[in-house]
Formats: sequence, structure tokens, C-alpha cells
Amino acid sequence: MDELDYEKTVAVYHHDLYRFAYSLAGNADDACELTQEAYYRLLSNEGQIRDPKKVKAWLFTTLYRVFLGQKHRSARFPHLTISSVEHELPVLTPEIVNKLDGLLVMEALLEIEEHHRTPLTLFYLQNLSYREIAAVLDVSIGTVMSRLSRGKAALRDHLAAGAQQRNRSNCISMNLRQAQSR
Amino acid sequence: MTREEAQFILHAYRPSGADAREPQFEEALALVRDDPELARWFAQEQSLDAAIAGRIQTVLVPPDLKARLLLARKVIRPRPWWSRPAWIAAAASIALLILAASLLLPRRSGKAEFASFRGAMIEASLNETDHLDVWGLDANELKQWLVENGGHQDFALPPRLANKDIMGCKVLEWHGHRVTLLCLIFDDKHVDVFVVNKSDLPRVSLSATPLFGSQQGVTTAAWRRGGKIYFLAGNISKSDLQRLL
Repeated sequence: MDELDYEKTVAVYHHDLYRFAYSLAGNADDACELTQEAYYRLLSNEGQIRDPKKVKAWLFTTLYRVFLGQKHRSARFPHLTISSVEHELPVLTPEIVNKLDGLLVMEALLEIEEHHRTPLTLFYLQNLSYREIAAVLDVSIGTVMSRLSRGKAALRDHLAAGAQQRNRSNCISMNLRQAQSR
Repeated sequence: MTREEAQFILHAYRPSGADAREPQFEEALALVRDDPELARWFAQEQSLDAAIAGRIQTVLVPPDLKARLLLARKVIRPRPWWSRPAWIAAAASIALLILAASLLLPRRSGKAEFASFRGAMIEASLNETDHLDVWGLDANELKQWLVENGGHQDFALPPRLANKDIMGCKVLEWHGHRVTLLCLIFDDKHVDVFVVNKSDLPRVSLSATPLFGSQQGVTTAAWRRGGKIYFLAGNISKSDLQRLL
């Protein structure tokens, strides 16, 4: 890989690798470190990557494995469970989602169990097909499909709950403003 | 295949349309065509997935991360063998030979030229730190700014796109050629239109009918009008884009 190829690889993939890392680590500092570590390993192992078309999958796989390695040495990230009012959640529509901040969506992703969250993030980044996701995570295609199906349902519940909570907060602050103005 | 089985499989179908030619989805997509209820579900599913994917793409990447990644190469790699003095003279001779050969061989194909252009423009579209040179101008101010900064002020967008406000613009340079970026934001969609002279991409063959594609989660379209090539990149579904062009 020459200088230009490395620069191109950085330019093309570092945004999505960072976002994938963020969805794993849950904070910007660790996401930066994971991204840097993946590229560092690319530089150290570039002789082993013969096919330039495989660099993308190699980077995502490496980043994920680095994360797994680090996770074994540290505490697990806490997972929140959805409240017991699932049946009262509003129907999630693209219009509601489009009003959400990107970081709020990322936070909702972080509330999902990791084995569902990881394929789901890769799916939404849209760089990899379900076959490539299966290869990155070293699981079967059927497992990826199953996790995507369940992960999507969980994410939508979290997003709907987040949107509902936001609406309630807006109502409360509006009521407070009205009360203060009286 | 039952409706439920099709739904299970189609959960893995990316909203960018990148899986359209994937055989695994063929049967499920055929069922979508024959089953109106499934078709409604699939349209909603794709629309929601596109919205979520679009939101994730807005998560900002620290502006200095790219520089740090590029610096890593310089920091961790020892001086390579080919940069040592003994090799430089030999390398110079080889470079001269390659230069001579490149002058004799045909120029790179139109496909490669377009791929290179497309990659650079998508990168510019995704650039979150230096996306625009100027923004918030009205139509006259925008044209004036483009004249003063060497941009293309004589562009002609398709009518539905021309109705949208241009939020800002930038004049880029690609292999020594000027490219004008027009940034449009509407209905929570972000679309960049790049304008370049046709003569600057001499081997690229495009017609007035847009050529659609997707890359890195970005939907793209390219077409030719007059003496210009237009390349559009944005977080917009292909169907929405088709309606605009």
C-alpha cells in the first residue's frame, strides 16, 4: 500500500470506522483510540493485505477485535433495559427520527445488547453487506439476519421511548414557562 | 416463502439499495412485488432505516482525527529502503521510463476517471470540517461570489432541484480543474451538487439521463447538460432523488 492508498483509505473509511467504534465504546476518546489502533495495525500488517478490495472489511474486523480484546481487560459497558411501558410507546416514523440528534440515536444504539448492536451499527453505516458483516463478526449469515431483526425492534423501542420522553420534557418546560408568565 | 420469512430476510436489505443485485433477496423482493401489504411494510421499513442511517451519519467525527491517522504513518514507519541514496538514482531512471511509457500509452479510461472524480466529490460532500466557503447568500450574491472566486455561475439545475435554496457553496480543485459545490438542505436532507466543465472530464461518457449509484452510504447521481457535468451526492433515498431529477 503506497502513501496515496493509505491516505485514500483514511479519507474514505475513517468517518464510519469512528462511528462504529463510538457505538462499541460509547465515548469519543475511546472511539478515536480504537480507530487509530485499527489504522496502526493496517500500517503494521499492510504486506499481508494483498487485495485492496479487502481493506474495508479488514479495518472493520480489526477494530472490532481490538475492542473485544480491550473489553476482556475492563468492565463491561452497562446496558439499560427498556421501561415497562413498551405498549404505550408511540409509533416510530421517519419524521420523528429525522428530528432526533445523531448522538441521541447513537445513545439509543448503546442501550442495546452488544451482540445485537454491533451488526446493527454496521448495517446502518451501510458500508458492508450482511455477508461481510457475518465475516467481520465471525458468525453465520443466519445469525446476522436474526440479530438485525431483533436489534432493529429493540432500537426502535428505545428511539420511540426517547422521543416520548423528549416530548414530555418539552411539555413540562412549556407548562413551566406558561406558569411563570402568568 | 411466507410473508414473515420475507420480512425476516428483508431486515438485512440496506436502504441505500446496495443489495439490489444480491441473489439472497431475490425471492423476498419478488414477494414484495406481489403482496401489497408486504410492499407497504417494506416501504416503511426502508424509509425508517434510511432515516436512522442518516442520523448516524450526522455524528461528528473529531476534526483532528484524520490528521492524527495520517501522521501515524510518518511516526511509526522507519525510513524505507527505497528512500536511501543508493536507490534514488535507480528509482529516478525507472521513473523516467515510466513517464515515457505513460506518454505513449493511452490515457486512463473514462470509467477510472469518473471513479476518481466521484470518490473525491463524495469525500468533499462528507467533509464536515471544511464543507463550504460561503453560505447564506441570496441568488444574486451567490452568482457574484462564484464569478469572483472562479466558480461556475452558469449552472442549470433540474427544475425541482432549482426550486430549493442553495445553502452555500465552495470552489474546489480536482486535478487542476475547478469544481463548484452547491450545498442544498431541505426536508432534513443534505444534498451537494458538484458542477464541472465537460472538457475537464474528457473521457467520461454521461448523458442527460441521470446515472444513479451509491457509495459510503451516500446516494449519487451524475448527468450531463450543456457543456457541464453534474454530480450529486446526498443523504437521500434513490426514489426521492429520482423524483427531484
